[in-house]
Amino acid sequence: MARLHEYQGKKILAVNGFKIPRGRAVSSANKAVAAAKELGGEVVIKIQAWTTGRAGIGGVAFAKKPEDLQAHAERMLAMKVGQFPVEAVLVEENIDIDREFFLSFAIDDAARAPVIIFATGGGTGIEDRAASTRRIPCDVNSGPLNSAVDDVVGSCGLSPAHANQLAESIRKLFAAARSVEARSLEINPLALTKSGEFVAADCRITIDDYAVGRHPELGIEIAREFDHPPTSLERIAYAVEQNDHRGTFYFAQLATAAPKGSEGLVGFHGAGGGGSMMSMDAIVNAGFTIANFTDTSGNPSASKVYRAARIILAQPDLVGYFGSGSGVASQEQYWSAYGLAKAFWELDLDIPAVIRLGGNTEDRAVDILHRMSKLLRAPVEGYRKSDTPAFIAARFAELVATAAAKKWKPRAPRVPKFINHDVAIALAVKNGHVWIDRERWPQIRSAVQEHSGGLIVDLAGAPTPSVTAEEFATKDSELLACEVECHLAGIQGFYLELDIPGLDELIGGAR
Amino acid sequence: MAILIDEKKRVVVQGITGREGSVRTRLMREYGTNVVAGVTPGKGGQSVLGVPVFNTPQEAVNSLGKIDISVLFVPAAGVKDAAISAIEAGIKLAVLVPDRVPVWDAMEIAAAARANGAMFLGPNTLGALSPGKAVLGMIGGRAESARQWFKPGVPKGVGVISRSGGMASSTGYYLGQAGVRISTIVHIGGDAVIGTRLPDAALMFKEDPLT
Repeated sequence: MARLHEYQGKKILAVNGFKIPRGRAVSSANKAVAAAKELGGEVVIKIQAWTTGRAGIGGVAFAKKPEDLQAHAERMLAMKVGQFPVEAVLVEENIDIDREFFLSFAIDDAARAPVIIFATGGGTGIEDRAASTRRIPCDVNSGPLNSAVDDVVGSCGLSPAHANQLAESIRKLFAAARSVEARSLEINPLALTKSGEFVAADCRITIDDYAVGRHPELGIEIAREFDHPPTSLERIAYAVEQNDHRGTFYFAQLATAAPKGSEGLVGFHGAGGGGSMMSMDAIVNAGFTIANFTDTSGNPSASKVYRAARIILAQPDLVGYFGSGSGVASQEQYWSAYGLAKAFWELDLDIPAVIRLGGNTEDRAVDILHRMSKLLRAPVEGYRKSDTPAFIAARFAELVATAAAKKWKPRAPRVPKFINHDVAIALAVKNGHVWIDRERWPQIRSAVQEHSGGLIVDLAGAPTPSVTAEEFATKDSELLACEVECHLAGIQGFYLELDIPGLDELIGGAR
Repeated sequence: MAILIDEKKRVVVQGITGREGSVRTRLMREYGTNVVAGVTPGKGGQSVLGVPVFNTPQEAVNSLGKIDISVLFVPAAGVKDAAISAIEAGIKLAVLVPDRVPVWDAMEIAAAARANGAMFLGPNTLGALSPGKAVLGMIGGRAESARQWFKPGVPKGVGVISRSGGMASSTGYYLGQAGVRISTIVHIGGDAVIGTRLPDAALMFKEDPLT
């Protein structure tokens, strides 16, 4: 789930009618002091970080004079919370609190509806007082049930005016959550000040990843909850996923080095959540360290699997490539085999790969991998649904041992010389081009026509799509298969270029 | 017997003219599913694989009479409107195959289902399959694979429920290898808000005398 910082969340609350403390998020100590001077009076400074219990780790401080803030701000902006450096602090007026309330929006999966959780007495340690919380059921369209709101508010012993404000706050919380399609939205505390106003003193929001595209106003770059700032490779992978919605592609980096005692770093390529988990367990049990989690499933295009493999193989020091997901997949597995085969060939794979593509068309998938293996410097072995993850993990360990744990060096792909050249003909596909060497065309045309399933035919001596340009552009997977079959038949002069923006620069930069 | 789906249930496919919709319609029919109609707004009057296409589920019901189930192969952003249109046309089970359906959309579908006494499977589900009878969605992929992998629950069979699509078919396959017959495989989907949760499916199996 995409997370927002406190200061971002408070802006959303303010738009929805909440009163929030005056203040500003800043990224330097000098700006923090300047903000305090503007505010006047006593201020509070808080790290903007995705953690609870900020006060306990020195992430919250109070200052009576602006100058006192300098040291706090410097210290906080040098902090690291988990893998995340603190990049901003929020400087706010300190508010005079009379009473605190806990207000939290959540989604109740059993009710399949929103729910608001309420407690008198906010602040830290609310988790320990779970028994004292009250639940206010909500209708997804009309919001909190009035009777439940009245019931909860009536039990707080507030004056009629304050009770009314609290009830309004509960309704506004729902409206705020709905406005950004929040998965969760917590205000802790909602403070009743001595001057008699309800103020949202803190805010934590997570946004539904699948709805982030409908909320460009939130400026969320990567709609995923990582435990570290997104790496360059994760950004590249995320862009690939956004550009091709045929099937799912997920990529997250887990480790960049194998700890002592490990058998080595493994590039992991799963398919489907459950099968991937079983497969990751198997490879970890065999003593290896997983460099990345990758999932291509839901009937992905061959191009997507190819791009995933290229991204996995942009990680240095891998001792092997382990592909295993759902053993009995409903998707057509030969597309995945073609995608992997193209990536392995282009990168001249010299570390072992063990790939289990069980399920539909598994024999064809395994056959493609085994034929490609003969053109590579390291073995690529394909397995089926009858082979368990534990069995293929053991086989992987044997192959890695035979290769003496040789470590992978990321490299630029082998690209034929004729592309981007006058002698080549380019035909556009989705996020890429087919390149055909004009000089070789007379010799290869019958093979290309056959392996492309008739998508490319000869017209007056030139390669020509047999379908409209629009339809041809969607046939990238079929054309990828054509290229692999050409490689396997020793035919040169046909190449499918599939863009992965930023990847070549990243690999080039790593050298 | 089985739950959710058998060869008699009348099924409409929403998004039938799309890439995924047309391919899956063919596979469902090959396995035995009684697909009586398709829906794609703006393409009413056409036909796909001999199945008549309507603009809305309501038009399909008006023309063909009662329809039991709708299977959705539409883009994630269109799932909410498509599912609610099926539910409001009186269809009592919607199978939401697409993934990446926003959770607020799923909650709105749930509210519409409650109001109309309907239920749904998914979002993000491969569907359900009753071996030897019929399939909703894409469990098993090809009809020939599904026939090889899953043993019909005759006279009785075991019910399979999974949140993971891969595990749903794997479990069905491994049971078959061990000679165990299956009444229905249900992939309930992995999202936070789903129409049919594990206890719901378990209770349906409990009521089925042949599971």
